Amino acid sequence: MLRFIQILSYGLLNGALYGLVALGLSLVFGVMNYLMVAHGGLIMLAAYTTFWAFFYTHIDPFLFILVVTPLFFIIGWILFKILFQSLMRFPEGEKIKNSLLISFGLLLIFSNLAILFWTADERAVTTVYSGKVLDVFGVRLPYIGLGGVAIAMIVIIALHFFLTRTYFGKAIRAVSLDHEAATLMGINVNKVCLVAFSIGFALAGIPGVITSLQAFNPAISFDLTNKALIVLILAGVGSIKGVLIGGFFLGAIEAAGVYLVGTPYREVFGLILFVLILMFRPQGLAGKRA
Amino acid sequence: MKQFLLVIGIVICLVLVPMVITKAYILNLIILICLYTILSQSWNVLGGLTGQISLGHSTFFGIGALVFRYLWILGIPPYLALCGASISSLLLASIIGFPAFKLRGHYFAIGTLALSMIASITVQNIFPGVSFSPPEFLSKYSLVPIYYMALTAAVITLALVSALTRSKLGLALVSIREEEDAAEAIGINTFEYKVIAMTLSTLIAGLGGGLFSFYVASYYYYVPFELGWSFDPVLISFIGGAGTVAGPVLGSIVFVILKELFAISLGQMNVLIFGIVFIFTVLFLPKGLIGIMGMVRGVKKSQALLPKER
Amino acid sequence: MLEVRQVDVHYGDIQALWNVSFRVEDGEIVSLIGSNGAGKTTVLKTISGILSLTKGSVTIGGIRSDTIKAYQIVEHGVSLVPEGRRLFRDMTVLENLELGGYIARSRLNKDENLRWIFQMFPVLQQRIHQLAGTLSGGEQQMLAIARGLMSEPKLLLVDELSLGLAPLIVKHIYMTLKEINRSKKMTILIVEQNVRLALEISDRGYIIENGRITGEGKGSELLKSDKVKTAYLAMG
Repeated sequence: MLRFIQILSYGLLNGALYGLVALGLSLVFGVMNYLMVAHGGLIMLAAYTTFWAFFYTHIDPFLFILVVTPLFFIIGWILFKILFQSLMRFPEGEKIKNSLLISFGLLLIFSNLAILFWTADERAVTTVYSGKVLDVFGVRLPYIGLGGVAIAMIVIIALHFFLTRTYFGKAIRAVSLDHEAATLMGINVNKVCLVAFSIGFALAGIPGVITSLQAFNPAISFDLTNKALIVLILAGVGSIKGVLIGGFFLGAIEAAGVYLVGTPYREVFGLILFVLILMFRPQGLAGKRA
Repeated sequence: MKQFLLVIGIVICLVLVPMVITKAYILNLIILICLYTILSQSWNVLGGLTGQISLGHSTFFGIGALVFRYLWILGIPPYLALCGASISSLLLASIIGFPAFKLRGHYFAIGTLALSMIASITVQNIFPGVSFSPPEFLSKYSLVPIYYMALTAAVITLALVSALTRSKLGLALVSIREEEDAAEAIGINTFEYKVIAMTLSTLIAGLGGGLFSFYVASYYYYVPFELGWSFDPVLISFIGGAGTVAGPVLGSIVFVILKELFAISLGQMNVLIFGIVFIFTVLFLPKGLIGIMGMVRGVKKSQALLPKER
Repeated sequence: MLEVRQVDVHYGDIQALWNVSFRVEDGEIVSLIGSNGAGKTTVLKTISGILSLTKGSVTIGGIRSDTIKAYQIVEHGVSLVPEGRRLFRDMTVLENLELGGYIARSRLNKDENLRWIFQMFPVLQQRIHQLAGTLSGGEQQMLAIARGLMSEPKLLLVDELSLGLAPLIVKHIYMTLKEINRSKKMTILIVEQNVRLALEISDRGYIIENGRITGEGKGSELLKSDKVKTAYLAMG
C-alpha cells in the first residue's frame, strides 16, 4: 500500500510539472493555432541555460527563474517576428501544418545544437537540497518535486489572474475564440499573437529551470514535447485548469504504469492512453477540441 | 522518352560499379543513398503525395528490420526475407495504422509520433541486446551482395512511386492532399485511398528496414526504431521536393554526402543543417530543390504533382 | 457621416461589389436591404475594414477609412455588430461588454456606459455573469448590439440582426435601436433581409442586388413601393 502511495505521489509531483510543461504549448495553440512542437526543445535549452548559469555563478535555479522568464520572452518575440509572423495569414489547416513543420525543424535544430555544444551526456544541477526529501508518514516527497508543484501553482494562478482580470488578458482570450470578432473590438490581433507567443516561450523557460535539477540531456526535447502534446490532447484547448488537471492525470496514469508493469514502461502507458484518446475523444477530457 | 533512357543508363552504370570500383567507401555511399531514398520515398507516398504527415515511420522501418533479421537467421534467403519484412510492416500498419486514419492533419502527425515512441520504448525493453547477422554471412562479409540488394530495392521503389505519380490513383491522392473535403464531395472515398497510400508506404518502409538489417552487421535491436528514422525522411522529402519522384532521391544524395562530410568531425551536424534548410524550405521554397531546378529549366511534368504554391 | 463612393470589392478573383455608392447622414437610420447573397454583409465588412476594397473610397466623418487597419476603425467611431453575432461564447456577458469597450477612451467610461446599456437591455444585467453562449437567441443579439455600443460609436453597423429570431423579439430590438438613435443621436446603418421591420424604423433605405445598388428612397416610400413589395415583402 505504501509503495502504491509513494509511486502515486511521484506521479502527481511529475504531473504538476507536466502541466507546467504543457501550458505554453496550450496557450499558443489556443490563441493562434500554432502547434509548437519545438516546445520541448525550448525547455531543454532553458535547462542547459540554468545549468551553465549555476556552473559559473552558483545562482540558485529557483531564483534564476526570474532571469529565464524575461529572457525567453524576448527570444520568443524575436523568433515570432522572424519565422512565425508570416504564417498568420494562412487558413487554419495550413497554419497548423506549417507551424508544425517549422517547429519540427526547430526542435531538430535545438536538440542537435545542444549535442554539438554540450554533448549528449547527462547533466543535472546539484544544490544543497537536491537529494533531500520531506517525509510524510513514510512517503518520501523530494523537495525539488515540491518546489516544482509550488512554482506550477504560482504560475497558473498568475496566468489565471492575468487572463481574467486584465484587459490584455481578456483580449488574448477573445483572440483565441474569434480573431475577426476581436478585431471588431479594436484589438490588434497580430500584436496579441506576438505577445501570447512570447509568453509561450517564457512558459517554456520556467519548467526548463526545474528540469535542470534532475538528470537531463538533449534527448529530453522529444520526451517533453511528447508530454506536452499528451496533456494538450487530454485537456482540450482553452482551459488552464484543464491543463493542470491533464498534467496530474498523466502523472497518475504513468504511476499506474509503474506500479503495474514497472518503471521502463512508464511512458508507454501514457502514450497508449494518448493514442486511444486521440482516436476516440480528441476533444479531450475537459475542454474543447484541440 | 529521353528521361526514360537516361534513367536506364544510370541504372546500368550503377549495376556495373562494383565490377569496376572496389573501394568500400564508394559502395557504402551508394548503399546509404539507396537506403535513405527508399525510406524517404516511403514517407513521400503518404506525406508528400497524400498530404498525411507521419512523424512515426521509424515504426515500420524498425519492424522491417526486425522481421528481416529474424527470417534471415532462420535460414530464409535474403530476398525472400526482404519480402517478408515488407509484408510484416504492412501487417503492423493494418492493425494500428489504418484506424489511425480517423485522425486528420496534425492529429495524425502527433499520433504517429506517439506510436513510434511506444514502439521504440517497447522494443528497447523486450529486446535489450544486440542483433547479429547470420554467422555464415559474417564470415565472408562482402559489400557487393548488399550493394545489389540496395540497388534492386531502390529501383523497385522508384519504379513503384513513379508509376503511382503517373496514375489516376496518384491524382486522387494529390486531390486528397490539396483539398480533402472537396475530394470527399466529388465522390472520392478518401479513407480508402489513404489506406492504399498507407499500404504502399509501409511496404516500402519495411523494404528499407530489411535492407538496413542486411547491411548493418550488428546493431542494438532498438536502433532501427530510433526517432531519427522518423525525422530524416521528412527533412529529406521536403527539402528535395515532397510529392515528386526525384525529390527524395536528390534530398537523399545531399543528405548522405553531408553525413559523410561531417561524420568524422561533428556527428549529427548534417541533421542540424538540414533542419535549418528545412525551415527555409517550408517558408520560402515549398517545392524543394526540384522546384528550384524546375524554375531554371521550365515546367517539368513532375511539377503538376507538387504542392500548391502558397 | 458615412460616404461610400464607387466601391468595388473582390474575393480573390471573384467580384462581389460593383461601383457601390451611398451615404448616411449624421443621426440617420439607413437600411440596406437585399436578398441572400446580394452583397450586404460584404458592404459592412468593407466599411469596418475587414475586407479591402479594390476600387473607390469609404469616408467616415470626413476621414478616409479604407486606408487604415481594421482594428483601428473602432477608434474612429465605427462599430460593427456582425452577422451571426460572433459573441465570445466562452466568456461572460460582462466580459463581452468589457471587450466591446476595449479601446482606451471607452475604458474610462466603462461604468457609465454599462449603466446606460443595462437601462436599454435590462435582461443583460440579470445575466451579467453568465456565459454568452448560454443565452437565448434574442438575448445574444441584444448582447451583440450592446457590445457594439460599448465603444461609444458615432456610427453603428448592424448586420442581419433578425436571423433566427422570433418576430416579436426582433421588433423589440428594432424599437430599442430607434430609441438609441433618438436619445443619443447615433447614426445607424442596418443591413437586413427582413425588410419590413428595418424599413419601418429607417429614415432612408437602399436596395442592393447582386452587388449593385439598384434603388433608394425614404423608408416609408420604399415600404410602399411595388418593387420592394413583390421582391421582398413577400418574404419579410
